[in-house]
Amino acid sequence: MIKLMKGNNALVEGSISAGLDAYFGYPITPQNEITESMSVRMREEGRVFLQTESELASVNMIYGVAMTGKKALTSSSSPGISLMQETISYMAGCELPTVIVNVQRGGPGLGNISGAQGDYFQAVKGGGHGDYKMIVLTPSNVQEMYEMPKKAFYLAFKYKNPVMILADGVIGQMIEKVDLNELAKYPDEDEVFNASDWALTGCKNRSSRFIRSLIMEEGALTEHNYKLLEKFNKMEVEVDFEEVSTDDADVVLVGYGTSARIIYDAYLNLRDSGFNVGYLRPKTVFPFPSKRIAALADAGKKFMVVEMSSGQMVEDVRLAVLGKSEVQFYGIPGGGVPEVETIISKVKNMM
Amino acid sequence: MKKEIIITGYGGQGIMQAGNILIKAAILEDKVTTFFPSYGAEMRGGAANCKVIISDEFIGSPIVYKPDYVLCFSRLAFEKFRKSLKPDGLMFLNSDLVKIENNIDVLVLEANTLSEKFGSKIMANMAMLGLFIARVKLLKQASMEEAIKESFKHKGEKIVNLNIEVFRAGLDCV
Repeated sequence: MIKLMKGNNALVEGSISAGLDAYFGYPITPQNEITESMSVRMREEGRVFLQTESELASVNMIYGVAMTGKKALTSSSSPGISLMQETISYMAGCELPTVIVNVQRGGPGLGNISGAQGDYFQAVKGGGHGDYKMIVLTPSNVQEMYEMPKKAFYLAFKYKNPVMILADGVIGQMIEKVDLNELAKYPDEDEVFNASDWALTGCKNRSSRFIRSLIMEEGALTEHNYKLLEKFNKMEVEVDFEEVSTDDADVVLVGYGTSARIIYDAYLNLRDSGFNVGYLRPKTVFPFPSKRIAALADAGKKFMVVEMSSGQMVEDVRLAVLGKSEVQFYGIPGGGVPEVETIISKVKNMM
Repeated sequence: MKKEIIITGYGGQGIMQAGNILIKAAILEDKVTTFFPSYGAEMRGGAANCKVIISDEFIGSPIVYKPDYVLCFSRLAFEKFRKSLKPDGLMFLNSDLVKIENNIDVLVLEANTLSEKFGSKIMANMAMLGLFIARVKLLKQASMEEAIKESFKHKGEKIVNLNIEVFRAGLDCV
């Protein structure tokens, strides 16, 4: 079924198609359509919807629901996501599968309500305490807002780890065409979503289970961390990105989310003018397409990274490139949007 | 062909509704389209605008800086957006709301007055859409009317027909 839909509303439909059992949320612009639409759609589907008294309550409720092996999701925007960081760390420590959606707005602080990408570090480098990682998916269009919740839940259950969908106000608010057809099934999804061997479901006729992140015995927490590390390393195979015309490119434009749409306009314009530029869009920023970027750097290609921030993802590009090639950055923080014309002139200067 | 449109005015004038009708009509003609609203304080009376792109190919950024066309419903927006128009761009102005001096290359329509002939000025957005489509022929009349029908069907047949009549009256003003 083809429809015109806002990114925020498509995310709701995608979450319901993914089998979401329970949604908890507290209103904040620019993601209010998610909470509003969930309040109608989840009840229509006979599932749980609760508007909580705060973001802290929302995230702690998904923490609780996840312990029972059910699919729980919360959504918010930047300031609300900051409030959730403590519990995200707890969920990573407890190895619980949950999905958190951040429709980013301008910061720091309450900032403003414009789309922004200033929360990359928080999402990718661990906004909460301790050695943990979250898989972070970055939708760039309304279709991906529909499809990514399913992928997020699949990966969350596969790795027993929180997964974040890192969108932004532009993707959340914009309307475009979306195909709401049934989402493809993962071959092993029944097995992955089966939580019967770990969930807290009442211990009648079986031994009791504990889920907790407090691990006090000497050496046990170090051992737990090494186990988590092994899991985070395994996530590498989930890296996903879109790449166009990099083979003959002198400069590769790199961006995610809304920035990826902006660099695509710049890419088309530069190609039309005869400049050899390529386009690379990470669809996951943890794991990050470091190997691919390193290979492109080895092939002598330069990089122009564009973000709606003061420069965050560019650090991961530089880590991948390791000084072997030139990496330039152009970004606008605080809810500003990079301009195509500026990107074009900056790339021409690199040629 | 890629055309970028900004519809701008105050909340309550049907700015978002007009944009939604354009993208619905575009989809009916199998075009690629995006809609990006200003958001936050778009209650009745606050400044509001939406950015619509209609194209035959993939659309990158949905944000419009230099529009091909502006449909303008307020003085504030007129001052703001007349400068950002493309050199060969066109401004469509509701001249019941914004009085301008002569000799400016703007297409004007007393859209409130026209709409009032059908009972209420609240359909001025339909009149402006009519003028716009008649002038630039970006979308077909039939798909526009289908989109208007789709947008107002929850309000009943009478409201659908009134809006289509005002749209047609706007069409005839070129």
